[in-house]
Amino acid sequence: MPENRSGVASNAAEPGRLKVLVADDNPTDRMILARLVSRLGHSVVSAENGLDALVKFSFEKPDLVLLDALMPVMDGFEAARRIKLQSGENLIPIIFLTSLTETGALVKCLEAGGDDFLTKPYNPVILQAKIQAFNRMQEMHQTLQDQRDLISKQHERLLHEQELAKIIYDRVAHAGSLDAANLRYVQTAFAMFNGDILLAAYRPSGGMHILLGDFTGHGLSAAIGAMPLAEIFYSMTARGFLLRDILQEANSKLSRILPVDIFCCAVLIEINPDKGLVAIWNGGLPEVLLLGRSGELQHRVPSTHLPLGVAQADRFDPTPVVLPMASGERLLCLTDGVIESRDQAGNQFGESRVVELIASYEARPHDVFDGLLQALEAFHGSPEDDISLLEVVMQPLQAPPATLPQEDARHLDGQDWQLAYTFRSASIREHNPLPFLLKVLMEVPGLRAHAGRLFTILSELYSNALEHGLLKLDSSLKLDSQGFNRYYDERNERLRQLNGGWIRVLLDHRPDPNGGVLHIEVADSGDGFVEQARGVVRDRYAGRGLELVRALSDDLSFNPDGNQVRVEFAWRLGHTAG
Amino acid sequence: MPIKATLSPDGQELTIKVSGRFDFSAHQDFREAYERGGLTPQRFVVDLHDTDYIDSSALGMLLLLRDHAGGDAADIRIIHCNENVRKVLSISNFEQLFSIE
Amino acid sequence: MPDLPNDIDSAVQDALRELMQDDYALLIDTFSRDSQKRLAQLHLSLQAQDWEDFRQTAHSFKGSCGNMGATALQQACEEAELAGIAADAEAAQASYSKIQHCFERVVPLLGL
Repeated sequence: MPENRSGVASNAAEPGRLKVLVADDNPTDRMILARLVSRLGHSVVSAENGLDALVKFSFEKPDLVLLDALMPVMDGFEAARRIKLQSGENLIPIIFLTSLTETGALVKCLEAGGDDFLTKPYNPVILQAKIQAFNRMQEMHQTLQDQRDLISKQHERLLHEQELAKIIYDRVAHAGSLDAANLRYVQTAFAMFNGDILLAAYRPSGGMHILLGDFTGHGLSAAIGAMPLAEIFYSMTARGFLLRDILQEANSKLSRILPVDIFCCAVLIEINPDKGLVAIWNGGLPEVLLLGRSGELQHRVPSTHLPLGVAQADRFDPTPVVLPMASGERLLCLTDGVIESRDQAGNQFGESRVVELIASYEARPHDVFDGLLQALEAFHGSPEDDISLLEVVMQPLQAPPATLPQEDARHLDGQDWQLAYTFRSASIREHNPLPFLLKVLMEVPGLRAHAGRLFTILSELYSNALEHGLLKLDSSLKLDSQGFNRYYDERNERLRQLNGGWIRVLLDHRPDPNGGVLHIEVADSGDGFVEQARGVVRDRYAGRGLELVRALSDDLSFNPDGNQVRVEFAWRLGHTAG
Repeated sequence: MPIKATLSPDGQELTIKVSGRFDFSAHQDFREAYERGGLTPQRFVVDLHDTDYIDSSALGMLLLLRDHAGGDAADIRIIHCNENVRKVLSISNFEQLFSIE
Repeated sequence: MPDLPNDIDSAVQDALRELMQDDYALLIDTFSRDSQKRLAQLHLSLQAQDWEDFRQTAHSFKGSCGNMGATALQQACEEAELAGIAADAEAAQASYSKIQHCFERVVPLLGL
């Protein structure tokens, strides 16, 4: 039965002082050797034969054994074998005492577990040298064992910490609205803690933001980047920020906190069923594919941006590609693990295989997702890389839950105030004032249930003022998908160059016996949109904005020039307070 | 040696040649190639002629080199890229940060 | 002509005296008694022609003689050991007599 020992010489009071077992059947030799050993500063235990040696070894637990080869009762060889067995993983050197000089006999000593020999007559110098050498060896052995045990404990702790991190990571990175009806996704188990992140959240004005990300590196370092990214994504989406705002903030944050060589290849999507639009930003992932209702490949959105966390803020481009997307059409997003999956022969799955597969499912677009999964499975034995696959279908979204962070309940006090904010060109260029304005409105408890509508109203009025009033864009451009991109390119360019002009937003809330009335006025320094509003262009894309506002509010009016719009919004108390 | 660094005679240009797999295993050596004391080249060349495989950790290493070489002011050329290498570099749009040949 | 081995190596004895200090006398006494036991044992195994026992006894005796510096005695023991291995009764007898003879010479030299 192996025994455990801690410390070098567990019996030693001083370092270097060993306990030595001396086993020799000859009393004269025993006496001389014992004296030699004790004179070297060690303590001695004596035994007369093999059995005696074994018993003394168990009880006394010596650090070193000097064993006569030929002894009565049990000879040295047998004793040595049993002592070695008892030592287990501890190193207790056995030095055979022998006047045997034939090689055969010496081999027998080694085979029995002996570590060395000492010949008779005993030479004190040689004895000392051997004891010292073995002592050093044993100390080294002990150090190795201690280090091994330490490493083992630390490793266990690390594993435990990783498990905890994974729990936290899962709560952050895989919360959100991934169970929405319009989403389907798959992530290999390996992927979940190895850098792939998938987030989805409803927007207050309707629509959704979705993020698929792939961090460089694996494990902890990647997971650490995922958490601030998720925080930004959720909180900014809930507050009504646009995709480009979220991208800008996420890139800045990740650039700041992540080491230079860690970054996140990502696709961010803003899906807008009300407008039939989708905005896609691809920085570092394979092409996002847009499939039509019959499963035909309509559009490919390749990566045209640097991944998140690489570019400095001034170099970062948050501009997405904007495409029309009708109900029943779908997006397919994947991480490079899908493309780079290898079969037994080392061939890559590749992008062309994905495209071919899509073509093979013509008229059955709903089956493409599963079909792709099956093809991947059939293609290879074990994935080298992590796989994440996401499908987003355009369909009317269920009413989003109250997405704003809940404030403490307040009394339904009447709130009677007016606030006017004028944004000049520098602010207009750099910031999106809408979340701030919405926050102000949320101070009125009665308006909180209408956050979505109010946000849509504010967004539309502000966009109108900005794009038509200040930037003087022509919305007739927005007639087809090509036109769309041209429109937004033009918008960004003119916004970049905006110098002068202003937009004023006035919010006025008065309580009334039933609840309250909110007036919103938005004015801009431009020439007005009246011509356009009166224009005959009333197709899907242009002119919808004001119609939408009219539908969401109680009254809409504008001045003759068309650079001032006024909207009235009334809310009713559900129950009387108290 | 998978990583080999050569300084031009005038000491102005350091060429780092990567052979075989450019992945995490090259991390230490790649870093040492340009971090060695006493080297202050103005320009860097990363020669990927013998590189058959490049992954995201290699992209990270290139970013580290760029950071060391002055960030936006760095002069780094990545040369002799084969088709696969070029594909990996382009999907991350690294031609926005490096001169790729 | 090889040198005759010494009966007692005085250098070894000096070293032993220095090693054992006050226990030197005890050591001599131990050696003496053990040796006599060995002699008796050799005699018995010789008579019984138990060569294994004869060999073992001679071997052990040889060891202690070496440690004591009794070189001639040690050599005699070695001869006895070899005789035991060979199961050579004649050689064994001869070596036994030699051991006896050498031991008698050593006794006075050790102050016994």
